[in-house]
Amino acid sequence: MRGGPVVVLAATLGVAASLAGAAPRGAAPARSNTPGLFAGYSYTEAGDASLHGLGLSGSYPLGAALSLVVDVSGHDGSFAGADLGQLGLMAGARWSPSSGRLRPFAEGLLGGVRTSVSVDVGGATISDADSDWGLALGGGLDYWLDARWALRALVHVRLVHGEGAWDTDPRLAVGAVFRLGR
Amino acid sequence: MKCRVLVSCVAAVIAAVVTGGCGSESPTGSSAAGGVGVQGVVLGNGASVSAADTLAPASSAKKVTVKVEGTSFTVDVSASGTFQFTGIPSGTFTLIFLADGVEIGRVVVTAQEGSEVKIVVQVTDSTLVLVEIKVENPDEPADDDDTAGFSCVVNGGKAGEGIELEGTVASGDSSSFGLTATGRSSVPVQVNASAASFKCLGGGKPTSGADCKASVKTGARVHVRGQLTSCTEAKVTAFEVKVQK
Repeated sequence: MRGGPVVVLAATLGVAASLAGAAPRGAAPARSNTPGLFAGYSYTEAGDASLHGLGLSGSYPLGAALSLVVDVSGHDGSFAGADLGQLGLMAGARWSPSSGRLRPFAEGLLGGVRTSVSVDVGGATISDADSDWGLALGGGLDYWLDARWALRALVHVRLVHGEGAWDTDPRLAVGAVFRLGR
Repeated sequence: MKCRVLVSCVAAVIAAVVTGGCGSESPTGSSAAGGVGVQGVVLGNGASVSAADTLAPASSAKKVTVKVEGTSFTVDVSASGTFQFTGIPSGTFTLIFLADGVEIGRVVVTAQEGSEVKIVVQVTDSTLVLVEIKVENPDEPADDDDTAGFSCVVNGGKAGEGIELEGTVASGDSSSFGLTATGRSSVPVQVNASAASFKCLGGGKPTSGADCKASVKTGARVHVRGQLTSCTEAKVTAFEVKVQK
């Protein structure tokens, strides 16, 4: 299960890199750092469970290469007959030094995740939920299609602490970026 | 130049994910192919029963560990409450649950080669509550209606096949008794032990089979090995009864 999304992401990164290489020099939008919104498919793991969902994030420039990032994600899935859901809210900083068509970035986020588990037994639902704090480290690539739109692939390693244990979970996301402002 | 360094960093992160550098702690012990797989979820102390989506406060922060008795299989439950084993030898095995290193409960599981056991338990302050257990056999593919393969009233049991149960005698005598089977059945299992052999475990001094047989009465702790004769009525014909002294 873990390999599939990674392969898709790696392929996406590869295609983006190829397109960037094939693009004529000077075609890349040479824009300064501006606010942006991201939305896309997101995959993560909660312990042993594979979860799928949606990722949303917004960025606000703090400098030429540095941005403030707020990331919200929602995932769900099932494991061992139970339904799992995970909501994440994290904020942090992104560093993206390039201004070409292909723009790699690295980021570090701090925040929390709320994991809920429910199981239906004999017509009743038994549910449990926990809020845990954690951090996410990672990065990704933006491939700018024009001055407004870009494709993004990102990878996070999420460290979540709860129930006396640390989880080290991957998170992968692909989607579109819309640039705000001029 | 900075861009190249950053691309390298991103590639390194991706490589770490691909090579399994991430994810929850892997179970230790044998990783032999085949065997039985176990997927589990541990609910916390604050789990609630409801018809709606009422969510309880955060549960206890005890570290829960699961072991397979008599083997080196052991795994810590993840922060999200999940755990997983692969390659457990088929047959009957016992999952031991520990909270902060202290045993809080056991679940006896019988599963054939290639089976997938799915178990949900709740950990309260010092006890373990079995919420649900399903044994998906390889020759009985799982169905979405959750009824195929595990409709037996005795969890993990199959009519006509061998079974081992642990529990407390709820009623009856040594020839026929009702057994409250820990973690296996929500109703007492009717055990026909008229042809069974009896052994005593513990207690210090040797005890004859007859004395063991006489000690089977309400409240006695027993281990029953036999055949499940009915799934719908939870009936077992015992071959052997071990009495815990």
